[in-house]
Amino acid sequence: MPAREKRRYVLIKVESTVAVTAEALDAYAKGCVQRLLGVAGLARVKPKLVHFDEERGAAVFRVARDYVRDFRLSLELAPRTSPLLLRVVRVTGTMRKAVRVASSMPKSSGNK
Amino acid sequence: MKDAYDGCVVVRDRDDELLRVLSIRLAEMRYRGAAFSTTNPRIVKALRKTVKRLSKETGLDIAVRLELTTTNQGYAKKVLRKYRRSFELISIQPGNRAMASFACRDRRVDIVTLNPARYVPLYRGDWEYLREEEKLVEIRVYPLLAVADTLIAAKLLGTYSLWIARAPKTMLNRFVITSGAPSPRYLLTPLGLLDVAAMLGLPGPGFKAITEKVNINRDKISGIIPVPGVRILRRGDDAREGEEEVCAD
Repeated sequence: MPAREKRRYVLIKVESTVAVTAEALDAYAKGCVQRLLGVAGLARVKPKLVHFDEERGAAVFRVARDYVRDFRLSLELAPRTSPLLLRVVRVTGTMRKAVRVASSMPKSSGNK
Repeated sequence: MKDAYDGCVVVRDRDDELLRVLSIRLAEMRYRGAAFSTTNPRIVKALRKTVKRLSKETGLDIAVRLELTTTNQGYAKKVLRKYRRSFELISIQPGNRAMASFACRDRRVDIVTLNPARYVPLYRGDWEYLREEEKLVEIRVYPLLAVADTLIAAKLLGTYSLWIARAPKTMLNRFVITSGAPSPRYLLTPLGLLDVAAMLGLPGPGFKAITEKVNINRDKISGIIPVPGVRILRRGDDAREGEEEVCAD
């Protein structure tokens, strides 16, 4: 029987000068991973947006546990020429905890 | 990650507001300190004043750093002679082989900054000098973030990897990773710097090495270390009877 895949939930602060939708955010994060690690890397990391609080500019991505570091590195090395900037705030083991931390973040005025 | 230290935050002009925003962001990212780097030695007094105020405001340990990017050794020597004791850190970004050799050899230089846009090889003798003088070799993340083209970014990353691959294994702990950020947008978190170091095959981002360097240079400037190998522990009235005033390290 195959072992269950282990995951981590990465809480991200979205810094943007333009309005961002959940789909655009998901595509941007996947693009960042693909830019640094390629298609094979994207397949390994498996990032997926599972929660997005537009008001607070907080997002939670689910990623494969063994590749959290790769995901974080991809976001850190994303080109700053883009209006969107994602900063990793915290990594948690459960989605419940990640959402709880996200809801405790202050409402941001910078994100449109 | 309590000892996180960003060894290079670039200050192009003395913009107090920008420096304040940078300091606040660094404190938010839980850095313990940072070095504000300028290429203009003439602004040192004003910069020191601003940095002192910001250190009090944010609680960061901020050092002032001078970066020389010239290819003229005569000019570099002149600046070093005049300003060495005004800055906690001095780095040289060599643009050619002669300057790379000079940067490794001169005792007044603390950091040799690698420029990924121009590969200048470091030879065995250079690495020996770096080891003897306990100098640091700096890798900046900023050039990787500033380019939008993936191919150019890959080339820059490849150049950094080449330096690391050709460095002696015992010198890998002398590499430091810094952001080189000219604005808050280009700052990296301490974990980000750690991840970059891991990606390049380095043992760490060198937070400890750069903090030690800053502390030693502060002691040298204040006269606590008058000559290499000597540290003054007590002066004048503080000296106890029968106790040596000056102790060797």
